Amino acid sequence: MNTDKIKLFLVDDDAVFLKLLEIEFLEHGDFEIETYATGELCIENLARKPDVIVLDYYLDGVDRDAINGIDTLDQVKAFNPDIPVVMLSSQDKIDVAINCMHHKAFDYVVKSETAFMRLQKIINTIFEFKTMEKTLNWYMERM
Amino acid sequence: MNKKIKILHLEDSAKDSELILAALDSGAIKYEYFLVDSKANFLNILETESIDIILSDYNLPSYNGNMALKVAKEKYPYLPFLFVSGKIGEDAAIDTMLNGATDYVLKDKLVRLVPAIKRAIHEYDLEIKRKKAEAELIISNRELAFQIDEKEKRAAELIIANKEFAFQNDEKEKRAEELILANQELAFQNDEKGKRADELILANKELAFQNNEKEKRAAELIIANKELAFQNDEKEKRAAELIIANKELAFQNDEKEKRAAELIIANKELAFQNDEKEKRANELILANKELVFQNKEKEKRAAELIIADKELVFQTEEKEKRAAELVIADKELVYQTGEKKKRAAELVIADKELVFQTEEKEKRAAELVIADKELVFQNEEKEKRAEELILSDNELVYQIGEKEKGEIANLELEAISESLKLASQYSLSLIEASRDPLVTISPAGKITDMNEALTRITGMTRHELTGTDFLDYFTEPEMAREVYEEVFAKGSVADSPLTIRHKDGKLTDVLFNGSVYKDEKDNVLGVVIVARDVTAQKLLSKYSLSLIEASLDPLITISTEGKITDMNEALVHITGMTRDELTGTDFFDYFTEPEMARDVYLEVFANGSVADSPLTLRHKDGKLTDVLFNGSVYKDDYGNVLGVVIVARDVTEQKRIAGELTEAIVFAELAVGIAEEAKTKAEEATRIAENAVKSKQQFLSNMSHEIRTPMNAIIGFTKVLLKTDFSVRQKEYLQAIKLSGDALIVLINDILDLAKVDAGKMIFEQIPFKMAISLSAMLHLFESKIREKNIVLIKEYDDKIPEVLVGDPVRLHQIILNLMSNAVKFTNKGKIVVSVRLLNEDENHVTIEFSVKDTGIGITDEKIEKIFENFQQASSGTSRLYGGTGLGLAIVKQLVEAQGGTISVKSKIDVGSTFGFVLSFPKTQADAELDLGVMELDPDIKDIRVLVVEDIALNQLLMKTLLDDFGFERDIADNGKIAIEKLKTNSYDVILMDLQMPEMNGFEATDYIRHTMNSNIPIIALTADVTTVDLEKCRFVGMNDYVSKPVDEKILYSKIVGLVKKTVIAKEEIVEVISETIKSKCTDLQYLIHRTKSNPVLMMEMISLYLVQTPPLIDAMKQGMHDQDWKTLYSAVHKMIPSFSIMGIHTDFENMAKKVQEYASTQLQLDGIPEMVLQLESVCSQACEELKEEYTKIKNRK
Repeated sequence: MNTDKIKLFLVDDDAVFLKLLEIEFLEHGDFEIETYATGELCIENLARKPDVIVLDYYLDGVDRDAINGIDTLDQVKAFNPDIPVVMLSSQDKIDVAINCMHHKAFDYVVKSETAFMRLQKIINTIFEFKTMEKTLNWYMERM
Repeated sequence: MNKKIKILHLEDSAKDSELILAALDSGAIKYEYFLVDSKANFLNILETESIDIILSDYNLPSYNGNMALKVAKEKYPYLPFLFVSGKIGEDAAIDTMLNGATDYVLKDKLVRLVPAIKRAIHEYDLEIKRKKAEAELIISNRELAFQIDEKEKRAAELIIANKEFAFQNDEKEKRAEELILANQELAFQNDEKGKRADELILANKELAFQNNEKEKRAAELIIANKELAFQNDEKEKRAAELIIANKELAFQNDEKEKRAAELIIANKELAFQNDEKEKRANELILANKELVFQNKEKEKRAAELIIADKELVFQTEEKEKRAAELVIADKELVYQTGEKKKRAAELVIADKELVFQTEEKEKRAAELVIADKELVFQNEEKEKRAEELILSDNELVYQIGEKEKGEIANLELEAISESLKLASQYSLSLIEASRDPLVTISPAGKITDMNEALTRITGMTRHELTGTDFLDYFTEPEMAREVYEEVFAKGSVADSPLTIRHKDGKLTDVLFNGSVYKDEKDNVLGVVIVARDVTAQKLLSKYSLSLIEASLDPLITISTEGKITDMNEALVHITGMTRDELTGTDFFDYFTEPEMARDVYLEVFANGSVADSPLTLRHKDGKLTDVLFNGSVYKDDYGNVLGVVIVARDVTEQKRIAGELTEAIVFAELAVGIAEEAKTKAEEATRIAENAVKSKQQFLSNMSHEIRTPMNAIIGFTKVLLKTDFSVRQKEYLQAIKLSGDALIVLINDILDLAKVDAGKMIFEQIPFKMAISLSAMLHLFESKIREKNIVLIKEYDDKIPEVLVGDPVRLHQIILNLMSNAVKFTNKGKIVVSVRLLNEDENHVTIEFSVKDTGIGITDEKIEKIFENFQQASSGTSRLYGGTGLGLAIVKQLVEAQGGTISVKSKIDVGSTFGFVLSFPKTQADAELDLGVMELDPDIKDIRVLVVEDIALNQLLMKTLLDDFGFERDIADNGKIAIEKLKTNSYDVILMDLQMPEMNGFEATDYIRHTMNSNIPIIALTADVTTVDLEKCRFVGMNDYVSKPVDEKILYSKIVGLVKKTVIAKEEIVEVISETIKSKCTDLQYLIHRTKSNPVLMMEMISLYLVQTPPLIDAMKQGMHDQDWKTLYSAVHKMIPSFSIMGIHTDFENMAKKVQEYASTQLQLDGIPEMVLQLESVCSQACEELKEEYTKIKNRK
């Protein structure tokens, strides 16, 4: 993990929202943002080692042939299960959220005015968690 | 007595027996008579016969009667025993009777015998009977006793049994009683059970019911929890706001206390406060200077950055030059390497040729050997033949007689000579076939024989050649002769170099090989010579030599001892020595490090070759040349090392170039480092500058609030004072105070406006207003000043401009005011022309050009650039001479550009300046609002009841006075809470609400009034702090309008009147008009502005993305609905939803879209969809239109 900037992938086929997210992230922290409009693009670029992925649930709205959010999530987890993926969507149906959690998403955020703040908090949580994990591993190795 | 009586008679005398018998017979008894006289017989008969009576004599010889009596009595106690005897005596008779005899009869009284017998038998019978009876009685008695016993036992048993029985009966009765009790118990318990069961059923029903209730409660609880969570969030937000508000309040309270203390000594302290104000003003100037300085710093950094960039560019150019040179050097190297390769290739070819020639030589030699052998063989054959011939001759002589055999022998001879011929022909053909000239010469030196090759080489015929001197054909006959003599001397010669001359003059280099041939007697017959053509070889070697000489690199061959055997010109050149000097010298001497050279040299011998060892050659004059050492051994045909061939490549050039390259790289890196340093410095500087800007803004907003509040009091009261009666002088002084206060307020407002626009927080109103009237009202303000200065004001207004336009009249006012005041300030004579011209009109917009032209002092070209900057005036002296802070133009520029317009200036020193700006306004059908310049009291509106909510007593007093002047009734409340109390009891037409108050502040109070009391009474906010108070917040809680402190009474009056009028007359109309113009705008870019912090680039990006993305979505939505393709519809609408909130479109539409989405996904209630889709389409299209406008606006602003 690059200690200076956190590498963040934003995947959404809604260009307006994607841009807005990008703007907000760039303003509010040291992030290195890469945006993709489809799940396939995101997966192709997984080799660039993102620290966090923010993934829209409904990716096959505009282009019917694109893979949707859940499939992308599965592929990301198959590639590297340690990358935390946060799912975004404008729908707040609970079964969709549970489905995402079953597919090992890290969290689920509904698109709204507070979405950005929540995403920030989640990312902070992720890094706290990672730090804790690291410390723990360090101790476990010493025992 | 029927029975015969069995009589046993014991008598010894027969006589007596007969007497007895007679007596018996007389006695008429039937009898059986047994007579015994001995004991034995007696016993025997007694035993055997069942005797009835015994008669016995008393005295017997062998036996006595007593004895018999005893015996009989012993045996048969009851058997009658009678003694029949003579007189024995009475004693004996008594004795026998005592002994148990039955009777005693005297023999003499035998008459008595029979009766005695009878009697005795009878007694005996009786006795027996009696005995029987007795026995029977005993038995029966016994029986009876036994039976009695038995009976008694039985009786006893019976008694026991009865007792038992009685006892058991008792028991049974007890049991029976117990059973009865038990049954009663049971019956009772069953009753109880029944009751319990009933109760249980009831309880279960109760439970089921309660469970339902619980579930309902739980569901309600979940909802309630969600509510609570939401409420908690809300509460937290409120709490946070409260905390802020409380902090504010506390602060305000402190402030209030300070104010109160100050108020008490207000009059005395006025002068002191004026001093303070001046100090503040000075501080402000200082702060501005600081800012100027910081800006200069920023510029310096930027300049440094530019310099650094230029450095970098220069360095990059240098680097490129070096690189180009490197490329050229590399090309040189490549070319030389190519050349070397060619040389090497050629050498390889030469070697191959050499090898081939050697092979040819070997072949020739082999052929020669074969030819010699053949010759030898032929000679032998010849001798053999000769011998045979001799033999055959002998034979012939011998065989004279045998002619036929002789003929055969002749034939044989012929055959043999044939074979000889063949042999000689064969050897001849070999010789002829050889390409090398073969010559045989006689010992005298004459050619005896030759082959074709020789004729070819010499150009002479065989005939011409034969017999001539062989030496004549050589260019050096003397040398040829020497060789020739050597052959004869040694017997052979090998590889002597000579040259044969052709008849035509062509020279052929040859190698001379010769050997003598002898006959069988060892006489030398001549010499066979093979002259091998080595021209080719020589050519080759010449060629190789030329190659070697041509090479720029020194090539040396050194012997195994290290002495130079051969070299090329290059070595001569490098060392400065001649070939002769070099040859034979130690090769190491020419190196600066001979030891290292030796090591390399040894390595060559060891490994066979060495490549690229760096060494340094020394010229005779001392010049050093760096070389790379390449060497390899060369061996002869047998593999013996003959020496070493060395190529020493000059690498000075390369080294130099490499050195320069490294230098260039180092420089470039240095330059990059410097550039990066400069960049970081620049970033640092920008950061500092940004921080400075932020802190400046913060400072400004703080100061504004601080200054405005007391200013409010000063100005307000001054105005009020002016209305009262004063002497002229006092009025004059008050006027001065008022003027100063006004000027200060203007300054503060200017600064704040600037700060607002800087922060992107300036909001421009879009209300309809009458341009012409607004303009003339504003120009009116300057009339007096202009007249004072004797300048003429000319106004040019274009008629084509529509009467009512939509825009922000206040800001326009401000712009023109600033420009006008500048014009008036800097113009001392001549005229000022204000012109408003219509540039362009289309369906929805007009573009208007405003210009203010004066004949003032003008501005120099250099200063024109700067005048629009903050705090900048044309010269530093301007402030001193003309006053002003230099903010006016900066504000003008910001205001114009923020509205999407452009500003321009033209000026000439001492001639005048023209300031112009272009703005565009949308057209409207609505009527303009009442001009704020209306000052007169509206006579229709009277008896307005105003509630003033304000905590600071001073301000309360002020408001009271103002409102009294207007003729309104007023009531004062100290804070929100008291205000609400008053509202409950009284009714008011309008509320003037201060925002910062203790207990309950303005927002809370308004919120309460609007949402809890549900009152729509007009509320106007009074605030001293216009930067931090969010207008939105006021509107949000439900306030209708706001007035900033210090309160301008005209503005206040008009607002009150306006609001009251609205609530009274035709509010629907105006509201409709306003709402129309408001409704016409469905997007609200507040959110976006907030998110992008008004960054125009980002705004434009966001808007353009929306404009690109949305129309296809609208089409997809319509298409989906048309085709009843619910999936398409769902996805299209789904994608639209986030952008609704981003672009500020009303949440109703968002909800509508969500509904459409749900219907499309569940496919229920499909009939509601088309209408909603149409509405969504219209709002989205409208949004696109509006956003396009915004986009162009932002673009123009840039």
